[in-house]
Amino acid sequence: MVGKVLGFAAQIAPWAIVGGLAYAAAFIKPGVEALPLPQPLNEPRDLFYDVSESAPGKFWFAGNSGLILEGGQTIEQWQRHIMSEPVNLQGIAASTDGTVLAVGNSGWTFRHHGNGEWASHHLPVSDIAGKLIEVTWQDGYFWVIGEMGAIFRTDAAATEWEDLSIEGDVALNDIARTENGDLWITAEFGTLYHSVDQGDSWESQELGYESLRSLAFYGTKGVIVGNGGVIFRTDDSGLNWAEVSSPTTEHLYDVIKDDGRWLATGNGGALLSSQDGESWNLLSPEGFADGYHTRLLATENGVLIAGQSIGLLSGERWMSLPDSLAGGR
Amino acid sequence: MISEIARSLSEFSIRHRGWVAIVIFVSTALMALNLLKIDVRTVFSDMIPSDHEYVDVHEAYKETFGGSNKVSILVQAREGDIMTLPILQEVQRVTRELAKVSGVNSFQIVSLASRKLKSVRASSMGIESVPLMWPDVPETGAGIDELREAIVNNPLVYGIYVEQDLSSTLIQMDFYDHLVDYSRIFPQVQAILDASPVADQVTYHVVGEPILYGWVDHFLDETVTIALVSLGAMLFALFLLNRTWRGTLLPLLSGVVSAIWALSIGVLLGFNFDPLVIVVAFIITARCFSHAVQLITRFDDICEGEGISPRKSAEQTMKELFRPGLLGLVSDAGAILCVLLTPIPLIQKVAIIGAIWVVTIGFSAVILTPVMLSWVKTPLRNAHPLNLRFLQTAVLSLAVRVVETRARFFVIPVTLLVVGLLVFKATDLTIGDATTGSPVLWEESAFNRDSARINASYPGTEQMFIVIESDDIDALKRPDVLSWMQGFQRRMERLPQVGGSVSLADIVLGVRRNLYEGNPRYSELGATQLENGELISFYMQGAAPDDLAQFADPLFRNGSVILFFRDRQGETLRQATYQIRRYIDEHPLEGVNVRLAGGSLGIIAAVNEILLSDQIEAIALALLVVILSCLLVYRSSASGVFFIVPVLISNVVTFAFMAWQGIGMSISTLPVVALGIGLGVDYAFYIVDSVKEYIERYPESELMEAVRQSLFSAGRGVLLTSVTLAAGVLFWSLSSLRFQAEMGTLIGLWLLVAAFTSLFVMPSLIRVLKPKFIFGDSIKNAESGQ
Repeated sequence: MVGKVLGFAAQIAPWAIVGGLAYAAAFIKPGVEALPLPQPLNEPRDLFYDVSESAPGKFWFAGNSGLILEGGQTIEQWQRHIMSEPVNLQGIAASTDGTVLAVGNSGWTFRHHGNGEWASHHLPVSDIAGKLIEVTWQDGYFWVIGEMGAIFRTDAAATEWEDLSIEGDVALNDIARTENGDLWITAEFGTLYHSVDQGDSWESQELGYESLRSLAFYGTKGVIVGNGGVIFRTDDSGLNWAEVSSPTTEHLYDVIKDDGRWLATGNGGALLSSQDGESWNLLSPEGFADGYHTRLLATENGVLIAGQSIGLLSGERWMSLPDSLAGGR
Repeated sequence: MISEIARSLSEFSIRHRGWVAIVIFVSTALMALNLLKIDVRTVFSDMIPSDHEYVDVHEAYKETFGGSNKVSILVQAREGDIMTLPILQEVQRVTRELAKVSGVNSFQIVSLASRKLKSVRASSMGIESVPLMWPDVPETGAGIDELREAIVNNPLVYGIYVEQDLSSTLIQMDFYDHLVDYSRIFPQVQAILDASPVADQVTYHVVGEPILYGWVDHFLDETVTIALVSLGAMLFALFLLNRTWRGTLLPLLSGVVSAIWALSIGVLLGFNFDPLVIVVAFIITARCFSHAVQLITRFDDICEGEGISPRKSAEQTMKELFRPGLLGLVSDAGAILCVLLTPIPLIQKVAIIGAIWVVTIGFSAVILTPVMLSWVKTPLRNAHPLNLRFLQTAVLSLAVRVVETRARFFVIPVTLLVVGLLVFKATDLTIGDATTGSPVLWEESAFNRDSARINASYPGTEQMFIVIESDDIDALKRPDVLSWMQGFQRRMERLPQVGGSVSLADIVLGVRRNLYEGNPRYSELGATQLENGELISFYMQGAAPDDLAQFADPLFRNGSVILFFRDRQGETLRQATYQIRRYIDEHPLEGVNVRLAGGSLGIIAAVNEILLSDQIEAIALALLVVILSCLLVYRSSASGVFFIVPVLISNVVTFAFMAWQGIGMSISTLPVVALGIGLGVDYAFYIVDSVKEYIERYPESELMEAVRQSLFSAGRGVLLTSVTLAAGVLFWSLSSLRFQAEMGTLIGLWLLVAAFTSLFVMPSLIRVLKPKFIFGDSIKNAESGQ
């Protein structure tokens, strides 16, 4: 009996083997253990335009596609936030009570306080050119400026909004306040706006034809930077501006006063410093990327820089963020 | 019936031995003349599967979105950066010279010195789009500084064609697939680089499929040398072990006749001979040697043991070994013909030529060898005094001892255990390439070092593109389509092996930024289809019509997203295609169809997808051939189980070895495995059939006597052949072509495993299981042998 069973098994075994292999050929495919591809903290295609600090050591980078990177002193404190509208966020600022306001394309603003959610608010801007370019916190208000002369002011909670816009097709790039309370706005094609009544009315003047991107004041001294590497300087709170020699022809997007020196940055890895605002020289920190940078923010630990790459400049030492905190360069 | 055919054929062949020999030799001489027209080269189209969706996409768009024959040349400054006049002039010289290379698509030469790479300059006064360094190289310091700024500010150049620290730049070229001739491209490109007037200032690193196969051609002389040395080693081993000139020269004669016939038929069929598959030719020649050695060994046994004349011995040898010889050849030819179903022309050509080659062994070994043996005058004279027969005897005695003792009962469980463990290991086998560089060459080869160098500084040397298709004109300008591209690129760039990607959306971003004075805050897509159309029009101002061809067709209906990969490993491509499909499923686009996948990696991904099923299919069909052959000859399907055993063991051991050594299953391993099945089964045929033949001739003999006789006769041939061939195969490990070295090792391993399985496992199976197809209904012999 056993012999017969074994004999039968032997007869069908070869066909079973071939049949099994044929089944495998037809139905078994090379498997792939799918990588979950979790959202990394930062991606190669992330671009940043602004940075702000809501408390010492707690900062916020605003970038493209509705991205805000919340930063801290350790990598664990970093978080990636994506806004409900995936617009490019051009500016971000924090009030003294810790409210963070981000502004971006098509009139979109996003407000955040404490551990709460991000709340969106849409401002009435032009359908054709509705980019909100900059937000700053000064004198108890968030000031928001943008294309088509858009100027908005809101309170510390960013709930009550006032429209102070200028008539005309002009993109406003940066807003700053002097010691005497005057407001200044740099705009495209060499236009500089000045208000002595907290933005109720504006006077304009032309400083050449290159677009003016940013301005900063320190006491009565001030510096404006713009396209083509143009730099203007004032010693009398803006009454008179004089163009100074620039070591670069790259567009410059931001200027600040930091710890006794003026710093400016822009396209092509341009990073300039000056002690007096008149004589400028190029800085080349090791590892500083050749791409563009649009914002400088002086903090206790150094200058935070936002742009194609983000990082911290301490003296002349560059530390890219958040990679360096995670053990990278 | 087969015995009748064997008797008639052997009688006829020996009776008319003169005419038989003349016919074979004259035919061989005529065919040898035909070999003057042999075409030894790699043809890229031979490696493309004929029926796969990726290949369809590749074929439809390869001329515009990127072929699979791209060459990248990295020009690296020895010191400092490339922004010096001599180096920039060198980039220009190389770019211009490359236009003269055979088969090049001159519209697809991209470098700093081509008109493809442009600077879109913006100021408050407007924008202008001009080539970065065409037609002239800037000759002043200010001009070079301006070029540096233009490079750094162009995201489609900076980091993609120029390294971020400006220390190197890439020159890329593509070819018309149908004009590609690897044997010409490689030396022409090398000659251009060798003619460098600034060789002391730059180094060159060159990669791409044409260069890879150019290296294969470059090593052709070495390959032929290794083949000859290997052949010499085998003949020497045969001479040493056989101690006769006939035992050495007749296998060589058989091998030469077979090779001439098969290659000549290949030439007549219009086939080219790929240097990569020379190993396959070697395996078949090994088969030929094996059959000839079996015949010579049996002839010696009959002459020496039974004192019969050489002429009668030759006739009897041919008659006795006709059945296993025929079985082996039919199985070999059938097994290799099974890979004909694989829709890859190279494999199909190998299958056809391989099968023809195996069939020719029927004439060159099975007929010609006994005919030549019949003329032996002094069969008992040794050609040298060194007698190593004791070594063979020791191994064969050990094999007999295993069957004689109770050790035979442990053979099956031990074999099952070992095979089980090896199957477990074999499951780690990688489908597709298992190494980061090209598996054709060694990791430390110049090609793979260049590849690693470029991949370390640039997004990746290997490319795959996906196609976005629509029926609507200007569909690619839709904001949702461009936004889809951006999202897709973001997702794919999360894969660690993806170094970067480019698409029409990247162009639009750059143009919009430049339209707004180069302000990065405007690096964004247009809000409407119309606006995107205008942005693209700005880009095309002053551009050549084909400047956007890489990304979109002229009507903007079909476009590409090009992904750069840092390696081409099987796992990388499976992961990539999985993630692409996943993204497409998760993000459907209305009115638009997204298709995978073109470019060199699209082709490799297609090959990998069909490889596993085709490999298993080939094994299944090859086993089916073995079983049908057994059914035909022994009239028993159960006999199939017997002969499958050594095949499966050899197969499993080889796959486990590949997994252990990190050798991926590739297009090149397919024919090796199919041929290996033939190799594995041949030895078993000779051993088992010898037992059966003995029992049929001496029905009253004991089983152990039959086994002993089989092992010392057929077994000696098996041992002699396997050791000889394995010795020859060793030399392949010295090859500069990693593929050949690995395949040589695999074949050697396969031969030894198959041989030792036949010697140490099969006899025990015969004695323990007493199969009916050997002993018939009366198992008297079997029982008396207990």
